[in-house]
This record gives sequence, structure tokens and C-alpha cells, in this order.
Amino acid sequence: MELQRINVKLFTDAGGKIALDPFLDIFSRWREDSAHPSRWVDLADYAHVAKGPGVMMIGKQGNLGLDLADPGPGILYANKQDLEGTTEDRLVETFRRCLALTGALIKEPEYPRDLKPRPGFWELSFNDRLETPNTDETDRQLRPAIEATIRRLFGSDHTLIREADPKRRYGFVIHAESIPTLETIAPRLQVDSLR
Amino acid sequence: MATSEIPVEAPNPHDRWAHLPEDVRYEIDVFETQLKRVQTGQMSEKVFLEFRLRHGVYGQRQEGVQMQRIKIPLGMLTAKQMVQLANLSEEYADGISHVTTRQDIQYHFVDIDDTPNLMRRLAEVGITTREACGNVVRNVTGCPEAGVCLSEEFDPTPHALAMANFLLRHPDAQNFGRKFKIAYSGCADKPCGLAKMHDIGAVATVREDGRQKIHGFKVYVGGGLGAIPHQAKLYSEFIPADEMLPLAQAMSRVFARLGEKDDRNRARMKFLLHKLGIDEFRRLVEEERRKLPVDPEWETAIATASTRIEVPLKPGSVLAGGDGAPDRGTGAEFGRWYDTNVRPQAQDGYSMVEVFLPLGDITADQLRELAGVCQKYIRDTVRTTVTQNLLLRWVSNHDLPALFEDLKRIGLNRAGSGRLADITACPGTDSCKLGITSSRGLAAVFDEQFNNGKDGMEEESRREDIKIKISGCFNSCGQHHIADIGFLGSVQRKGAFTAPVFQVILGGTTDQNADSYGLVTAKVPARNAPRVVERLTTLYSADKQDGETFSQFVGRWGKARLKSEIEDLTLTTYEEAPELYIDNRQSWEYHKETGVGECAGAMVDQAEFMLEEADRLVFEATLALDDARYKEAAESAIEATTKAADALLSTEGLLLSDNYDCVTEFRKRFYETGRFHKPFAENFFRAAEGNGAEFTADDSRRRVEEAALFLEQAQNTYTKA
Repeated sequence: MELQRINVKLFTDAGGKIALDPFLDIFSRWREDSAHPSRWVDLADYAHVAKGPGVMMIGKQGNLGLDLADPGPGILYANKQDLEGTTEDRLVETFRRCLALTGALIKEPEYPRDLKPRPGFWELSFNDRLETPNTDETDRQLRPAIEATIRRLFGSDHTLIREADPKRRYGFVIHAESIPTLETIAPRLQVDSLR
Repeated sequence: MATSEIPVEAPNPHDRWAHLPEDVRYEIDVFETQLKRVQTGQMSEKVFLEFRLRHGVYGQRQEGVQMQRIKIPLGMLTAKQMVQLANLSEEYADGISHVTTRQDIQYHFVDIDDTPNLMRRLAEVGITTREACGNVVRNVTGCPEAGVCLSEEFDPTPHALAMANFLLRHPDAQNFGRKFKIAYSGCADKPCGLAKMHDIGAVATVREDGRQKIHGFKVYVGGGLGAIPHQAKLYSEFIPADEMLPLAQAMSRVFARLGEKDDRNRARMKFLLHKLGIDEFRRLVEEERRKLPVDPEWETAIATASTRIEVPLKPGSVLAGGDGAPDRGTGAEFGRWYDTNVRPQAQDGYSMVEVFLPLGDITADQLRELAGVCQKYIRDTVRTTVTQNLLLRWVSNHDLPALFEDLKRIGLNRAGSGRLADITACPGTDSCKLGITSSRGLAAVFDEQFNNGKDGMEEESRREDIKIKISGCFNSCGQHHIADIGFLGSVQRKGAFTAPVFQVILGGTTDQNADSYGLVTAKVPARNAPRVVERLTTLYSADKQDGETFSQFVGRWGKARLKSEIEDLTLTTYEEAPELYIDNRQSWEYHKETGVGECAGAMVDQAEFMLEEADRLVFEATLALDDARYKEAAESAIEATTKAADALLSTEGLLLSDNYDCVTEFRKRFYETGRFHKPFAENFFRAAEGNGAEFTADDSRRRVEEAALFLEQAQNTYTKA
């Protein structure tokens, strides 16, 4: 199975209305970094769309943005390319990229301080219905690697809730309430520092 | 061009796609092969540019990513198609489906390597991207209210669909100098069809003939916006409905033969019409029409399209409240939405509901959920609109409150369709290479202002007597000419600094199928454009006379006087106001950066296309030969040779749709005149006769070698010509 399109969303708490304009400032700087492994293309501004992708950074390797879709806002990393190895390797690498970019994002001076990541509340989805349709067969094939990855990141105290709607992508909401901070996970993904 | 040693896979049956119709599968396989060929330097980039455009793949402003335009004839989308579009937008694009001003759907930031599978998956639900861009007949548009409108003469839907299907891939519509746009409207007065700004605009008309009522169309030709807008000319007061397809075919032939091919800025049909005059154009079209061989498709296309009938899911009903008026007990929010987004249908008990999409954008979740909402209330089909919204039809009135709640659940219950807040904008600098200013940025600022009541504009946002349209450059994709207040992106320099500005265009209208175009009144910094609207709407409200339209108001006041009213909003120096040198929704200093747009495509002669196709066929023949598929190899070789011969014959003015005999004509024009190397031509004649074709290895190899030689010679002959 050639898995490349894997999405990871880290949910956030928001005090009130989420300010998206700061992301324009941040991403307009980021796109100038032509050496970044994400191979940034440009930012895309969808702040006007209700429950939409907010303001996004589009990259050849993956996209990053503050996603407002249900079940709630969060920092969404959508991997598109450059994954290698086993399914578990690919999942771990996607989480690593997500966490590294999240760390860089929340370090930015314009990042809204009231937008607080919830380290124990994530969404994982497989953004490729050709390779990974939301079926029991896909689940049978991928579940062991997914569970191993989640255990490695969050320990055994977690719940995985599979997406039930077959029209939506194969994926899970992950609750791991015992994870107090993102720094807890960072070393498990070889992410040096989040701040 | 070399046809061997190309490191691409041989075409295979693509088992995964075996369920697709064979011709569709083949067309997309060819696209994929050509993509690989250009990526490995085996195909001319110029030819591939026009080739990919003809499959809707359009280069974005940002390097290495594509916009994929998806053709939706008349904007008609089924629930199944909506689900697929939603899924594909999140897998291959950025999760947004964008509705365009020509009722297409567009994805942005697509990787070109994903496009073949994207096309295949669209084909699974009966959608093609073929001829969505490029110098061909673009999406045929039509009034989204067709069939349910209170004021239409008759439903033009089957005729417009037949036109779309008939001209798609039609050989007479493959050799234009520029794009060609067709629109249908069910009535003369309303703005839904915009027929008068198209190359062919058809407005439904009924003629009485004794006791019989004959359906037909009032036909306009040569309209268009762009840098130099042209109002369409009346071609005929009445063309019988069943005569529309041959008429369009005849017009296509005239345009292909006489339209400008070299000067890209003067290649649209409006310039040909201007050059010839309407009378001479009509004479040429009529002459061409008489010569056309009868095509059974003229009838069957309409018959086939007529089978696509929308059947309501539920019987018509009365909205709770008794008299058809909204029951305000359901809430003020519902009332506001009802007032602006709901319109009665011609059929008792039913309403149309417009779903307002800010900037024409809808998320994958919303589109997928909307498909379910449609199945719940209306059965199936919605239509995209030229104002970048979606229209649900056949809503039983009793269901309106429940539908409102379901739309609210998915964030699609915004009131204000067709009102000031409902702004049309092109992509501008967000993604278009030609964009000069951020048209979507300005639209988003308006959206914030109107939707959130910023600057006290919430009340104003609901007025229906003013429309705003924004284009990021002079190519006019945002249709600024036909707005009450139009904005056209431009730049202005003061000292060492350049500011993004908008020209303010006043006096246009969408009424009566876009009956008049506005003119430039002033130029203001992009950041001041919202204040221009505030100023003009206030003036209009204060001085509007009974029933006076905004266009009439502009005429009465005069542009000079209106210009003086916004004089203080024009550009000042950087030192005085540096913020005016930044575009809307941007925090960085403005730099004008434009590239070469692909709207005009690349001028690739039909012969060049056919020779390229012949080249690909020879290549496929060699692969078949390598796999010991001898019959297939020989057949591909013969097809390649015929294609190359047709390419040369097309330079002689012969049209494929004339069904000429290729061998006879080639013999007469190229063999007997000595313009083609005789032994190679004789190989072709023998192969075409098919005598003794046993498809042995030797026979097939000989056929492939002969085809390669013939093609080489054909390319030389074409180059000399």
C-alpha cells in the first residue's frame, strides 16, 4: 500500500472567535523559505468560508493550516508526498512533521495565544479513497500499524474512535487525556523542541 | 520527433478503471501518456500546453501546481456528482470546490501527476474536464432557473445540453484561434443567462404559426468582455430550436476558417464579427450551413438531452403560515433567509432556494452534506449559478423551515443571495498568473463588512438594487463590465512606489441578459474600494428617484460628478499613507508580478495536434510490437498514418466532418502533385486497402516502420507548408 496522503489534526481550544488574520502574517513569511522540506508553494486564504480550512500553507510535501471543520478547530497537517518505509514509519513521520510544524507555528509572535493545542485530542485520516477506502478491509490491513503508532506516541491510555460514515475518509479521533503537553510527545517523535 | 526509447509504461487495460466507458478510458489514458511524454522530453511543451488546457488543466501563478477546471454543462450537478467532487477536492486539492462565473467547478493547487486519476474518478460520475480550457467551445452555460422560472418562454435546458454534447470533441470546433463561449437564457429580461456577452447567446422565443407554437431562439453573436468588451449583435430574431446545432456548427466552421490566429489579442469571435460586419458574417454562416452534410446528431442530441428530466421528490405544498408567506414564528433568521434566498417556482407549491457561497467557495464537508440534503428534499439535481452560488429547485414549500435548519447545520444558510453582499470575483492574484490585484482579497473584505455588519454595512448588504463584481485584471473574468459597481484591478505608481488599485466601473447591468456595459469613472487604491461602495450606496439611497436603477442614477448624475464624490479616496503618496500600498487581506508590500496567462492557450494548429496524435499512435504501435500484440500494432500504425494524412489535408481546408475519403483526397492533393514522397504514400494506400493484412510479426513490424516513415515525411511537408 503506497500511503502518502495522511492527515493529522491537533485540536485546539479557542477562547472565542478565532482570529485568522495572524496566520496571513506568519505564512507570508514562511513561504519565502524556499529551503524548507515542505517545499512551500504559497498561502491560501479561506477565512471567509464557514467551517472551512481557514488560512492554509500549501506545500508540495504537505499543507498546514488552522482548520475550522467539525468536530472543532485544530492545526491540520495534510501530508502529500515523501513518505517511505512501513505503514508505521509513515504514520510516525506524518505525526512528526505535524508536530514540528505546530511547534514552529506556536513559536511565532503573531500566533493567537488564546488558541491552545489540546495535546490529547487528535484526528488521523487517510486522505486517499483509492488506496484506503473507508472499509473493514482497509481497517484490517492498517489497524495494527495504527495502534502501534498511537501506543508509541500516547501510551496505552487512549481511545480510538473510527469514522463510521463510509462516505468520509477512513480515520480516527484519538483521545489520550493523560498526555499533559505536546512536549511529552515531542521526544517520542524526535522533535527537538516545541518552544 | 523520436518515437522510441521512451521510458514510460505500455498502456494497459487499467483494470481498476474497467468500469469506465471505453472511449472515456482511452481518452484519459492518452492524456496520461502525453503527460509522461512531455515530462520525459518526448513531446513539444507548446503542443502539450494546449493539449492539457483542453483537458482543463491550467497552470497557476504559483510554480508547479495546477488549477483543474471541471466542466459542468448548465451547472447541473447530481447528488452523486457532488459527493465525488467533494471527495476529490480534499484528496487532490485544498478541500475547496470553487464555483466559477461560467458555472464550472475549479480546484486549486493540484499536482499535475494526480490529474489522470482525478479525471478518471470524475468520469465515474459522468463528468469530463475535456475542453474546459483552451481554444475550444467552453462550458455551455444557461439560466439556472430554466424549467422552473416564472418568466421564461420555455425551458431551454435540453437544447443547451444538446449543444454542449454536440460540440464537445466536435472536429469543426478544434481549430479555433481562441476560446468560444455559448449561453442560453429562458427569457429576455432577467440577468440569469447573460446571453449578450457570449460568442453565441440564445434567448428562448416562441413564434405562433397558425395554431402551432414553435420553439426557437433569438440569437446574438460576437459578445464578450475581456480587455475590449463587445456587445453582442443580433444575428436572428428567430432560429427554430432544432436548427440551433447546425447553426452553431456552421458558425464554428466560419470562425475556424476566418478567425484571427496570430494576434492572440484579437482572435475572439467578436473581432471577426467587427471585421466582417454582421451582414457578411450572416451570409458566410448561411452559405456554410447550406454546405453542411446532414448529421443525425442534430436530432438525436436533443432527443437524448430531453430524457434528463427533473422529477420532484415531494408534492407541492404550502408553507406553514397559511398563505404561502413565511411563518415568522420560525425565527427572524429564517425570515431574512427566506426573503433573500427563496424564490417561487412556476409550479405551484414549490420554491427555488439559492445557497449563498461566499466567493463561490464550498468545503468538501459542506458539499458532501449538501448532497444528502438534496436527496432529502429535492431528490437530486442542483445547478451552479453564474453568480457563483448553488440553486436547489423543487423544494416543497412546507419543507423550507426544515431545509433552512439543515443548511444551517452545515454552515450554508447565509442570507443575501442576489443582494449587494453577493459579490462576484475572479481568482485574481490568489492563483491567476495574469492577476494584478487581489480580487478575492477585496471580495473577502466586503464579505467581512457585509456579513459581520462591519462599518455599519449589514443593512446595506441586503439591498438588491446594486451588484458588485470584481476582476483582478483586464481579462474580466469577474465580469466587472456588467456590474452596477465594477472593480477592475490595476496598478498606479507614485514616486518610487507602486500601489494596487481598482478602476471603478459604473453604469453596467446584468439585466436583460447583460444589456449594457459600464465605463471607468475613477481609480482608487485597493484598500479604499470598500469606502467607494459605502459612499456610492449612501448617495444612491439619498437621491434615488422612484424606480430608478443604479445605472440610471449614474446616467443622471454623470460620471464627472460621481468621480468628484470619491476624489478624496484616490491614491496619495507613500509617505502620506503607506497602508494604501498594500493589497487587501495582505500584510506585505505590493509588488506587481504577472506572468503569461493561459486564458489564450497556445495557438496550435489542428494539423499540429493531429501530427502529435499520430506520433503517439506510432509510439503505441511500437510498444504493442514489443509485446507481440501484432494486430494491435498494425492497427495503431494504420491509424497513425491516416491521422497524419488527415493532418496534411486539414491544411488544405478539408474538414473531418465533411466525411471525405482520406485516401482519395491524399492521392489527389499530395501524391499526384508530387508534394509527398511517392513510395511512402504508396505504402499508405496499400495499408489502407487492408489487403493481405495477416498481422504476423513481420507484417506488423513493416506497418509500424512504414507509419514512422510516413509520419516523418508528413511532419516535413507540414513544416514546409
